[in-house]
Order: sequence, then structure tokens, then C-alpha cells
Amino acid sequence: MTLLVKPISACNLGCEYCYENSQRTVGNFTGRNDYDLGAIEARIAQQFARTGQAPVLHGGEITMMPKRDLFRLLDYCHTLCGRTALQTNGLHIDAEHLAVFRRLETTISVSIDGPGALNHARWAGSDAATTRATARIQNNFEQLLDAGIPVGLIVIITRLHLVDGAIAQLQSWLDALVARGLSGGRFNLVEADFPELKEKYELTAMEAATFYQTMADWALQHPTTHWGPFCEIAENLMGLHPNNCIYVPCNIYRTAGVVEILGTGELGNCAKIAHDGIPHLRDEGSPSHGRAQVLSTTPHAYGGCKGCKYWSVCHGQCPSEAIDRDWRNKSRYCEAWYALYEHIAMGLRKASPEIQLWTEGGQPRVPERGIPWSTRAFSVQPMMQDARPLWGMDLFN
Amino acid sequence: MGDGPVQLEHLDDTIDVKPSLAWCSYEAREHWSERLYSIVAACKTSHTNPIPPCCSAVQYSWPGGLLQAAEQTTGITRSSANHLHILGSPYTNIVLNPMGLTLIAHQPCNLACRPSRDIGKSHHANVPVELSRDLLALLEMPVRWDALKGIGILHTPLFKYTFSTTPFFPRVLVDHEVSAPMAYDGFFDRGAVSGTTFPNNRIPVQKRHPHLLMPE
Repeated sequence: MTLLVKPISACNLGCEYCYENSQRTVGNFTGRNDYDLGAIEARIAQQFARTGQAPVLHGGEITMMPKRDLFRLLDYCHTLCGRTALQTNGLHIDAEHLAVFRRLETTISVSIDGPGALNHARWAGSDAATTRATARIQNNFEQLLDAGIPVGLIVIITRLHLVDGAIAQLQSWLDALVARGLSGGRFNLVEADFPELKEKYELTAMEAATFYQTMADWALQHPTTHWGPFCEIAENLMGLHPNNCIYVPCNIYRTAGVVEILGTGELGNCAKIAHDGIPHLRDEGSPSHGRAQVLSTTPHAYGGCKGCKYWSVCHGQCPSEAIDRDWRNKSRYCEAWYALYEHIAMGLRKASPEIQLWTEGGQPRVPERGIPWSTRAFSVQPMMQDARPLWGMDLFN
Repeated sequence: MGDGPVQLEHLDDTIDVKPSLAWCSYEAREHWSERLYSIVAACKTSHTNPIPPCCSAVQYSWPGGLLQAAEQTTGITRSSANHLHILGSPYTNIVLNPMGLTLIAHQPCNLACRPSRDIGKSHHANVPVELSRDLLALLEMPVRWDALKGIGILHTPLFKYTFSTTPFFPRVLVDHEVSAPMAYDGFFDRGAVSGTTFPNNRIPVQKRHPHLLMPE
């Protein structure tokens, strides 16, 4: 479970594909000063006592909070949980932030889609301003790395990553960052809430499959780092239960994978599924498994997963990317996920023919030599045991 | 778009989904949570009313009754074959029936059926006065009945209610509005939340997040 603290939903960038835009469009957002720190801290303490889960400060853009309040929250989390984490677009990070992050052992995840034009969907108001903002974010990101702060990436994959040479540009940029100390990151497929943005940004399932397979092969060349979703899928196939909620059944009115603490300390659901702009309060009844029930009994032709060999590890993926934005359907990227499972399962079998996967029934068996992907989850979670001997092997050729 | 009945394919597997209710805002939960149970309880006293002769021939198992009644209603419009728009009456509103919120205990032959409306009105007159205005307001609020593959969702400005229904494909939507609401004034102040889709797109955009509007 991930505990996200969202005191504000204001942001200093205008990313068109942001999943919080529908909330902003209809006025359901929190501004820079519309929060109650005392109530938020009380809720963090309650949730930490209940689950042992340290929070991740999130937004909007969390660095838009006045520094005094941001540092107070970080201090509070550090005292309570012994560690701190936050998600940011990196634009506002300065020397004072760096000093606090280092002192409070903060793990940082930066949202950036790549160098230069690859980050152009993270709009700063004009072409020139966006270019400047991207350069500044890249610079800040490198400063975080150089300061030795644990840092990772969230890259949202859009059609900008499909133009000629884009993937090579992305890979060489990431190569350089890894050489500089980057420990990993995640490639998320874009989810545009507004129809006019779908064509502009969203990949087809086949395009997504090709992208993911290409990047999975790239990730294998960096065995000391952890890249989602590839490492997670390897973990998943091995029955190691990756630290990401997209692989387990989701009750969308009481999301178990993500709990949000809103501006007044109220608990909310994962906002990624608030396509209608309404971040619902959590259903307080007993858990419902309606989505898993309907997907497991519905044939593929009707948007379900009945009979799929990867059902036990996939569960139709995250409802936020469901067909027609309707959580009763499976992921609209089903073909991409299926292809990625096949690709990674094939790689695992090639590396270790005696391997038994979770999807093959029975108890999965981890070969003594280990598996080719890092199983070290990049997050505030405790590190899982690594299995390194096969890293770097050419598994697919 | 089509004028005939909605086109549905029944699926083999029936699932049993636990009903759930998710509030749209802190204010909605604070104002309505306890009251809703009292209002639903008050609705149940109508079950002794007789079925009007015009409706007695059209008692279908759910959700056939709702779709049949909707299709027979004068003035119905469609934005696609399986997406119906109705201007109905609060007294014959059966869209909220899955959660027990209705003034009639039968399926009306259409959603403007006069004998059914008279039954609903007489029942409403018997509802305790402290609940009757809020009951009317709930039955007048715009609601979307949304069903797909055995899971139904009632989308309201205040909450979403999820329930089991007949498993069919594709999705069917019934958008229910009341032409001249009587008790709806001031309703927006009690936690109704604006959104990008019906019915929440009927709620004026607010300047601040409703979660922030804590009670005094």
C-alpha cells in the first residue's frame, strides 16, 4: 500500500495529460494554502500506526507548498517513520531543498519524460518556457544525483516517444543518468482523460507493446538498477509479489494499493481513477471484489479476462487504464501487457530452463542462480533480496 | 442511434457484487449519511399499494422493468441505441430502486404513468414530514443508471452506489432528470459535487474543493 499525502493539487506545470486535470477542470482542487497541516499530521500518524506505511508527499506539485510547511511535513514524517519520500516535477528544487532532503534522508521520485522535446508534454506555457523548464529540471535532477540523494524517475510514455530516434535518445539519456548514480524508475503509459488528447498522446496497444519490449531489453543491460514495470513483471512471474498495486485486484471505491490523505486530513481514494473529476471518499464498508469478479468471468471479447493465463498475476491491470475509462473492463493496453508477460517469461525460461513460473500452477521456484531482472523495488519499501548472477546476459537473441 | 429497444446480449456468468456506496464529498457524507437510511426506511412502507391495471402486464425482472418503462416514456431521447435520456417525475422514479429509494413498489408501464404517479404522491404524503422534502430532493436529483456485465452503478451528484444486476453487454445508460424540480432548491449546498460527466456536470463548478468546506 502506498500512502500519498496531497495537501495541494496546484501545480507549476500544465501537463495536458495529467490525471488530476479533470479535477481541476471542475473546480475540485486544493490551492496553495488550502490545507490543515495539523489534521494531515494526525492522519499520517494514524495511518502509520495502523499500517506501518511511511507516506510519500505528493500533489499537485508538492514543492509549491510554502517551504516552511513542506519542511515541517518532512520533519514530521522523518521523526515518526524514520524516512521520508516525495514525488515532484523537479522544477522548483533548489539548494535549500537539497540540504533538507539530505538531512532527512528523503527518497525523491522525479516526473520527467526524457530530455529536450521528449518532455514537451509537460507544458510550461509556451514552447520556449517549456524548453527552459525541461533544461532546469534536468539540471536539478543531476544535482540530486550528485548530492547522493536516492532518486528515481517516473517517465510517462506518450506519442512523443514514438517519433524517429526518440527511443534511442531516451535510452542514451538514461544510460548517462545510470552512470551518474540513478537507481531506477518507471515507465507509465499515458492516460489522457479528455478525448481530444487521446489521439495526441495515447499509444495504441501494439505501439505500447513494442515500446515496452524495447525498453525491457534495455533495462536488462542495467542490472544494478530497477525499472518498472519490467522488474516487477519478472518478480510477479516468480511469485515475489512486486510492490505495485497495478498487479492486484482493485476495489475502486476503497483502493487498497493507494490511500490518499487530502488537504483536510480526510482519506481519499486513488485519484488516478477519478476520470470524472471527483476524488471520492473511501467506501467504509467491507471490501468489494466486484472488478475481479466481473473480469475473471467475462470473455475477452466483452472486455474481460476469462481464461487468460496471466490472470493470476495481472488481474486486468489498473482500472485507471480500463477500456472506455470504465473499471468494469480490463486494461485497454491488454495486448501490450500480455506481450510483455510473454516476452519476460520467455527471457526467464531461456536464462533458466528449469524455472517454474507462478502462472504455471504450483509453487514458483526461484533458480539458485537467480533471475535476470533486479528484484530491488525502487521505493520507500524495504529492499527485497537481489539475485544477480544472470544480470547482463543476452536473453532474447 | 436507434428507436427500438436497447440491444443487449446476456452473458453466461452471474456475479454477486456486494453493494457499496462512495460519497462524493465530506459535506455530502456529513449531511446525508444517516438521513439516507431513514429515508430509505420510510420508502419501504409503500409496499402494500396495488399495482395499477395499466402496469400489471409489464412486470419484468430487473433491470428489464426499468428499460421497458424508460422506452415507453413519452419524450425519451437517445444519444446512442443504448443511452437513454428521460425527463421523468420524482413520484414514478424507479432509477434509484436498487438502493430502495422509490415511492412506488411496482414497475410502471412508463415513467410518466399517471396512476403510478398518484400512488407515489399518496405515499409521499405519508412520509414523515421531517424526511419528505429531502426524499423528494433525492428523487429529483439527476441520476445516471449505468449497467455493464452484471455490475450496476448509480451515479448521483452526492454519491455512487454499486450493485449487482443482470449480466449483459454492452453498457446501458439511463440518464434520469426531472423537468421541474420542486424540492431541489438549496440542494447544491449539501455536498453535491461538480464533475465532467452526467449527472455531476449539472452541478455548478465550485471555486474550492468541497472537502475543504468543513462544517462550522
